[in-house]
Formats: sequence, structure tokens, C-alpha cells
Amino acid sequence: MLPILSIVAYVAVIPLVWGAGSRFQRAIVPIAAVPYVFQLVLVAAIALDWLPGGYESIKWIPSLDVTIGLSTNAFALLLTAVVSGIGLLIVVYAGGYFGDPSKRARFLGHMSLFTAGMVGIVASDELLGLFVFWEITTVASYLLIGFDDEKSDARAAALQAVLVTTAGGLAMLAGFVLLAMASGTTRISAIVADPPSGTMVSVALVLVFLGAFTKSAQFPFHFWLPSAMSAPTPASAYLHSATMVKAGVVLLLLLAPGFASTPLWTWVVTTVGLVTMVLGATIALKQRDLKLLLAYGTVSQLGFMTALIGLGFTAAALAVLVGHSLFKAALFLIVGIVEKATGTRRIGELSGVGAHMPAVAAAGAVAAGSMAGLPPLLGFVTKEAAFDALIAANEWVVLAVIAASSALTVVYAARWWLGAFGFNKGIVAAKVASPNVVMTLAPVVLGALTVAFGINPQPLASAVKGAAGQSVKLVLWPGFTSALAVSSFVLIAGVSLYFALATERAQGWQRRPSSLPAMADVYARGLRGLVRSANAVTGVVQNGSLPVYLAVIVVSVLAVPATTWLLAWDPTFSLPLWNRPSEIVLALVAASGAVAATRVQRRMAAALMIGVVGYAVAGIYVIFSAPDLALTQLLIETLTVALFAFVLVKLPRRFGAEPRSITPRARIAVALFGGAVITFAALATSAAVPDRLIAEEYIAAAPDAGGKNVVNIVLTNFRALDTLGEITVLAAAGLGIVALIRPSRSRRDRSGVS
Amino acid sequence: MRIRFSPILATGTQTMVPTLMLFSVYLLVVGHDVPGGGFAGGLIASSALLLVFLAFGRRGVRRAFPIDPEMAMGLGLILAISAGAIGLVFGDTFLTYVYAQWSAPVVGDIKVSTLFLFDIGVYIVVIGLVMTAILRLGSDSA
Repeated sequence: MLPILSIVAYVAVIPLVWGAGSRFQRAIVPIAAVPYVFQLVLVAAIALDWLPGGYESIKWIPSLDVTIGLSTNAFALLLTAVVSGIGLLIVVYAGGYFGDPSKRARFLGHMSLFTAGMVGIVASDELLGLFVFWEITTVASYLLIGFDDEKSDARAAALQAVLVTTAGGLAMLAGFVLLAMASGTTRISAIVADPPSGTMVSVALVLVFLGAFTKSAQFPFHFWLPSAMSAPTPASAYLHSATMVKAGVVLLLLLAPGFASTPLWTWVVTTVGLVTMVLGATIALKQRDLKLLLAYGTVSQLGFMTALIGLGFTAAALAVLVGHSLFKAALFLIVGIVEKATGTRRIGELSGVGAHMPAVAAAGAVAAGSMAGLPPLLGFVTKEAAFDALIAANEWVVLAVIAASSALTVVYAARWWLGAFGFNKGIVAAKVASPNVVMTLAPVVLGALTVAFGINPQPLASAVKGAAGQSVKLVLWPGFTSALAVSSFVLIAGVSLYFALATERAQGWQRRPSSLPAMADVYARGLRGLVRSANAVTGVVQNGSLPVYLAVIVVSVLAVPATTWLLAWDPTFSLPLWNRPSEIVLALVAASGAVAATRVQRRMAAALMIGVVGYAVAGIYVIFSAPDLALTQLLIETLTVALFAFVLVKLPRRFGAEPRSITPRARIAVALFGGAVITFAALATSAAVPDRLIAEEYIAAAPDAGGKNVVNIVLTNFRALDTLGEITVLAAAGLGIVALIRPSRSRRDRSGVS
Repeated sequence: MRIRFSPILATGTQTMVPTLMLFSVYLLVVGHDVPGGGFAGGLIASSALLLVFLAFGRRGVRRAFPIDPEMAMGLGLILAISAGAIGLVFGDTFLTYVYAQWSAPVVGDIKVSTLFLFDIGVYIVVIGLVMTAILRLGSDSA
């Protein structure tokens, strides 16, 4: 029950956090922090074998094989620790960031929901369960990115993120279903243990890639991540360091053991990862907004992890993931502190901020250094591990691309730190308010962890090894190896490039807008096109003519059964023409009523003629001893005619006064078609003689089911769900009347005809 | 109360409506064993209220049927769904029927089942719908 319990805890505190919002504002952060602490304690207890771990599952929809399956294996524990650990720090930070208690409560509530989904993703061992948690994070991320809901760009960014990731998520669901069909199980561990193959699996993998790439902002779906920077800083720090964008990477990590050796996986995942890495790093160089710079840096780093997974280096990717989570969360949080203290987060408007907040500047230096890969920080160690793995596998091309964009990473890391904290010539130092101590805590702790794991990577190495089932070389001082040579080259190249970019010509390049594939434009155009075509379709389908609606409904409802019957044409009914002579009389009455309804010129007369048809049918029910039906039919006909009369007094007395939207000939065609199909259906069903009549079963079962009147028992017991549906439709129709017509209209309104 | 069309209609309505209402409740109650039921009963009650409308207008209906018709539809739906939910609590699935039976002196066995509650829900929804239609569509003049 342990992982499920912790997920429930995240959800359960949401009402408490929101409830505390107005009156007990000091309690907001402590309450919101409870599930994170609980989760960390659980993880520690299971990791230290104080509590039993293992796999547990809940059959959610057994008939569809939808199961929520959560595991406490090493992989889940490591990632859960990262998610909830960084989550806890961000909860504390958010306590200082949001001065308004109601905003603080709202944010922490959304965030708790998000974390519940994220923990579900990393712990899931069931495809469909994972999908459900995946979509929970999508919905929660919409709320978090669009948190400043009075700003239109925040709403647009949230919509963009949710549309892109949901589209990918749906593709992924289709991929999951195909994968489950191909392998005969929905357990992820079982699938990767005995991976299926074939065309269907290839299609499935491509669909799953779409889900992973959209979520992890891989090219060409990277554009939503920088737009999402309109989220409040704690949200960005959480979504774009340890969680949301890591979900795609996590999914790839889960599936890699089974499929990483296939050419499809290697080529697609590695290529997309490398393109994203270079693209993100290049665009990051051009950013003057500290937060946007980090956003593109995140895109680049996610590409790095994806490329490593593409080659099957899951352990190295996992190490990079942990290192990235620690430094990127710190970097985002520091941007938030700087922005709060100075009112800006643009490079070129800040100077000497570091002197006012040395602790923050130091934490920033550690985090930026880790991003750049400086020893003795964790970023250096994890990058070394990646280089080492690539060298050992002789992946020289990939190594070259990764090294090149790592050099770019060094450049933007330096730009970021110097832009935020350096003394920049020619800039009037902005007024700096002293930073909030609570907010400083999180980056300092993250910085300390980055240093600690850099100096002693042993615990992380064993955790990663256990999680990925693959050994990885995580050491601070490897000796004079080729990996160290690559690292040194990267640093030297990065520093040289930094100074090269400081020249006039390079500055011009930096100011030019990025001419790289503008996927955001493609998205915007696609969205506009969708809205336009929806308008066009609505204009055609909803043209406001009731006869057209009726014709469309009649023809389309009856076309399918009519086609089926025509395909299986067997017009041999052996029905007697009549059973009793009185039927003939009633049939003649009904037929003449129907004919008269089409011939009379006055609307009211037509309504009455339709009533005649109804009464004649009621008479037939009487003949066949169906008192319930007859009673109901008579009452319905009476009421219908009366209600018709209410409406008809507001219409012209005679037909033909208004313009016709359908020609009489078309009306006749539709009517004849409808009548023919219904007549045929009636004849066919009456002539059908099944082996067992359900009516007899009903009659036999009725006494046990609460009564002697079979009709009533069918309505209230055997087919009660149908009846419930019908009365719901009645109520909906009633609400339709309420919506269309307001009561006690004025005399002037009533007399006019619209 | 203001008479709209004719004193004959008004007088006839006044004498018939109580009988019609009684008959509608009768149909509702006996529906499980003889022809009737919530739907037919609701239609009879609605016809009675339609008569009231024709004879005495909107105000007359408001006096005879003081609940908001939209509210009535909602209440009826809630009742029907609750009757099904009782089955969920005591039985096994939604809408499974449950009943309680007592032996009382004079009247004999009294049996109350969720089918009956469900039927009352249907009855109320039907009346609510027809009332909505009458009050919204019908006009006091004409």
C-alpha cells in the first residue's frame, strides 16, 4: 500500500491547503509539506529495508484490463526521492515567493496534484496506469503554467503546453495499446523482459516516442517549454527541472531495456536527442532573459539525456537526470530571487547583484558550474560518466556532437551567472532589495547537494546502478582518461567561445532573431486553421433551418440500418395481413389522418390530424391487450396536441407563409425514405421468430422482480437504466425549453412572429 | 381565481382535477401489479394541471403546483438515482432493487421497494417536464 498511500496523501492535503488559505495562512506551507516529507520518509524506510517494498496493483477497470500498478524498485525509489525532495524545497520556497496567502494556497494545491501524478509516473509498472498519471500531470501543469490567469500570455502558454502534451499523450496511449496487444501484457517490466517485435511494435514505439518527445520538449515539439516560462518561478523550477519534462525521459528509461537495441530506437531517439541538444544550446546563447536562457538550456539538457538513452546508456542518462534536476531547480529558483529583489531578469539590466546576496550568488555559481561541468561538482561527474560510456562504445560521432554542445553549455552557463551576478560595465546598478531568507534556503541546499554528490558520488553511483541495472563510472577523479581529456577540451572550448562571442560581430549574431525552424508558428497556424475550419463546418451544419436539421437526422439515422438491410435483402415475410377485422378500421383511420396531415393548410389542423394517427395506434394497442401502452399513448397524444397548440398560436395559421429551405420534392423524398425504412423495420421485427422470446423470460421473472405488471417491472427493474436515461433526456429537454424561452414574455413579443 | 374562457370549463376543471390527481396517484401506487406506473400517472397529473392552466391560467397552475417545475425535474432525477444507489449499498449493482416488508394490522402486508421510489422519481420528472413546457410555452391570453 505504500506508494499508493503517498499518492493519496498528496491529493488528500489539497482541500486542507486550500481551506487553510484564508484564515490559517501560517499553516499553508507546513500542511502542504506533509506529503513530501511522508514520501521521503517512506522512500528512506524502504531503501534501508525497514519497510517492505515490492509491487502492488489495483484493478481499476478489470474488463478493459486497466490496472494501476506501482512498484518500489530502485528506479522508482531514486526518482521518487528526486521528485519529492526537490518538491519539498520548492514548497518552502513558494512560501516566501507568494506573499498573498490565497495565491500561495492555490499554487501549493495545484502543485500537490501535480506531484501525485508525477510520483505515479515514476513508480508505475503498468502502461495504462502510467498513462493516467501522465495525464494528471498534464492537467495539473495546465493549472500551474496558467497560474497567473489574468495574463493572456500565461493562459496561451498553458493552452499550448496542454495541447501539445495531450496530443502526444493520446498518440502514446495508442502506442501503449498496440504494445500491450503485441506483448500480451500491460506490465512494463514484463514487456521489456521479453520484448515483442514486428511492424506493430515499430508503430507502437513511434507513437510512444511522440508522447515522450512532446512531454520532454524534444525537437520539433520543444517550443512549448520556453513559452511555459510565463509560469510563476516555483512552477517553472519544478516542472522544468525535476518533473514534467522528465516524464518523457522516464518513459524512455523504462522502455529502453527492452527496445534500445533495435535500430528504430537507436536512430530515432539518438538523432532527435542530438538535434534537440544542439538546437537548445544554440538558442540559449541568444537569450537575454535569464529564465528563457534556462528554458532553452533545459531543452538542450533533455536532448542530452534522450541521446544517451537512444544508445542504451540508461545509467549515464539517469545520472545526468539527477544532476540536472539538482542544478536546474536551483538556477530557476535563483532567477526568481533575483527578479523579486530587482524587478528584472534581463541580462544587461543587472549589475553587482552578487554583492547584495553573496549566498545566493554562491549557490548560483555552484549550480551554473554544475551545468557547465566544472569539477568538483555533480555536473562534472555525470558528464564524465556520459563521455566515458560513449568512448567505451566507440560512439565518436555522438561524442563529438555532445562535446560541441557541452561547450555551448559552458558559454550560456557563464553568460547566465555573469549576467545575473557580475559587475557589468555601463549598467547603472539596479536597486536591490534584500532577498527573502526562506527563499534562499532551497538554492543553498541544492547547491550543497551538488557539491556533496560531486565530491562523493558513491551513494548516487550505487543508486543509479541499482535503478538502471547497468554499471556507470561515477567518480570525481578518474585519473588521466580520455573522458577527462574530452571534459577539459569542452571547458577550454567553452571559455574561448565565451570570449569570442563578446566581440562586436558576434553580438550582432546574438541579436538576430533565431531563424531556426519556428515550430511555434506552425503550432499557431495549425490552431488558427482548426478554429477556422470548425467555424466553417458549424456554418454548414448549423444553418438554422429546422426542416434541414430534421431531414439530416432522419436520413442519417436510418441510412445505416437501411444499408445493412439492403445488403442482406430477404423480403420474405410470412405475416398475416390482419389478425382481427377491427384492425382494418383503425389502420384506415390512421392512414387517413396521416394523409390529411399533409394536405391541410392550417397548422393547427395538421397537429390534430397527427393526433388522430396517435389515437388510432392507441386503439391497436387496446386490441392487442396492451393496456399500459394504450393508456400512455392516449395521454401522450393528448398532451402533445395541447402543447403543439401552445406553440402554434405563435406561428402563422397557415403553412407556406415562410420561405422554404427545402423544396417540397426533397421533403417528399425524405419522408418516403423514412416511412419505407420504418415500415420495413416493423415488418422485419414482427416476422422474426427467435428461439426464445425475451418477453416470456420477463413474464416468468416478473413476480420475483417486484410485481405482476410486466411492463412496469421492465421499466423500473429489468431496464431501469434505460428508464433513468429516458427521464434524464426528459429533464434535459425541459432545460432546453427553459434555455430557449423565458417565462412571462411581454404581449408585444407574443404577438410577433420571429 | 380569474376564469379565462368559460365558467363551464372552470367548473368542470374544479370538479375533475381532484379526481384526476387521485387517479394519477392510484396509477403510480398500483403500477407494479396492474396497468399504470410512474409514467402514466405523471401524464395523468400533467393533464390535470394542463386543464388548470386552460381554465385558470398561469396563476392557477402556480397555486395548484407551487414547486418550481425545473426544481421538480431535478428532484425527480435525484430520487430515481438515489433509489438506484440504495441498490448499490444493499444489493450488488446500481439499480438492483431492494425492498422492505412489514405486516400491519387491518391493511395487511406493506411492501416498500426501491422500484417504487424509482417510479416516484419518474412520476415527478414527467410532471416537471410537462409543467415546464406549459408554463414556458403557454400564454395567458390567446
